Amino acid sequence: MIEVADLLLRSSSRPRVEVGPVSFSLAPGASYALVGTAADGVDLLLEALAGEVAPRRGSVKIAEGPPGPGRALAYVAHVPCLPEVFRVDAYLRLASRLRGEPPALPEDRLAVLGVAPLARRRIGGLSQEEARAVALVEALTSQASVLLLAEPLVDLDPRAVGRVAAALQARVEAGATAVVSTASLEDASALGHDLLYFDRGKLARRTSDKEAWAPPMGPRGARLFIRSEGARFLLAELAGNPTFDQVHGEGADLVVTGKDPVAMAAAVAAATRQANVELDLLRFEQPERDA
Amino acid sequence: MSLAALPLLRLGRSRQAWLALSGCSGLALASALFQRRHAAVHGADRALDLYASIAVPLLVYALVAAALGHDGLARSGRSLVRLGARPARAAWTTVLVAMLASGLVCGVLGAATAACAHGSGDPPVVRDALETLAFGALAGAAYASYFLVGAALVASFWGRALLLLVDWMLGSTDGIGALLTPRAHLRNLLGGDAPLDTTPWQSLVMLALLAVIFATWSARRAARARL
Repeated sequence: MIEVADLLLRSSSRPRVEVGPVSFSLAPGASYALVGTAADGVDLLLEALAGEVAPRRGSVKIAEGPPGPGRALAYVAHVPCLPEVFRVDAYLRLASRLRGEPPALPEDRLAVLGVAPLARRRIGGLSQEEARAVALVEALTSQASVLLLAEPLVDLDPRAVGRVAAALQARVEAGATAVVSTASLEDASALGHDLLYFDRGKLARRTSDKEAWAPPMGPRGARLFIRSEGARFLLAELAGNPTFDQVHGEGADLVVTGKDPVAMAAAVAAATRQANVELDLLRFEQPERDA
Repeated sequence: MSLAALPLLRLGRSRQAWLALSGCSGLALASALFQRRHAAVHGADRALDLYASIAVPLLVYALVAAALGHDGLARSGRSLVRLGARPARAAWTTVLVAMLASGLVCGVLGAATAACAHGSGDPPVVRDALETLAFGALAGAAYASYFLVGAALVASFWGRALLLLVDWMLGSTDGIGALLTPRAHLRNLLGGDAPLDTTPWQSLVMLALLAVIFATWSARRAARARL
């Protein structure tokens, strides 16, 4: 169980990012996606869950205690932090020892993401994609009860994407709590049971209705996430427009999908003029992978 | 031992550390051989002057940088702390490895320099070499803990570089500020000017105290730091 209470965070480096105050709880045996960009504070929040950022106010509790790495928690940051002088197999053996877990064959662990040939390579000689894969292998095959993963499907071999999702699902079914941060609705809906949308540091929405908020867009399609005070007027303009496959709205938020991104953008622009509303947020997504 | 593997491997595999070791050793030994060739009466004193003022600080600076992976003290062990290693233990391990490696290298280099440059006016060669071995080892360890203070304060190389500069500026004088630098005490131990008229014994104690205080302070600060 992860409990976040009245949490207020501020990044120490530029650009300054603020999160909160925000409160939520995450139950074990489920996966959660923090959806937003770095500017929305999802990465900062993930660091705070890992115990690497001190809250300015409020608290984070993991299994009744303060966050901390080790047996309970595995954290993979955007840029993985690995000891560059070790060989991959030596690193995985050391990781098991430090976590107090029974040793497992490094090759078997690496095979989970299909990267067993990396076992004898030096970490310092790995590409960024390979280093991310090794960091993910370590976290996903550890016995940590909480997994915190920043953009786990980015910078991966396309063949590894499905394996990460499967391995994460297996860990969750075994009782772990998984929290991923991502700017992609596609990745969020693939990995999270619950989606927590962040907008400029605030928790804008928490939903498990993924079909509505992250509908599939198809290999050539696109998805637009719109926020506007006049969302209901926009919804009236967009509903029934054949350019869109789906139009879904709730409160100030709209999400639409379609097959022709240019036509979609033009239709939204026309609807915005017609309804005479201003947009607070317009996030455009297209699939990057054909995995 | 698991935690010590990281700084040890970094030291062993750092090209800069090996370059610094060969460069500083070459400088000190070349100076020693020059004194011997010219049959200088106090050859060891002259060669050890170069050893203490240039070779030791630069060599330890490079060794500490290598042991830290050219990062700050807290961040240098972050990859192991994220796996569950205790931050204090990771920091202390790095501090001790850096101090031991620096002490060993500086002690051996000092003894070799004293033996090579030995002149007729110097103390007996074995005694001189053994004393320089001990003083050099202690100074190497003290310098390492001194630079680790900089690495605990600032993660980039500026932390260590600033303290190198401070050591050069304050340690070269014989004022009160020199008492806080390893340079002044090593110079005093090797027969040079004493800071504030301290005796060699007092400098020996001060050097040991500086090593312990700097090491404790930097390790404690790194253990408390957020990564």
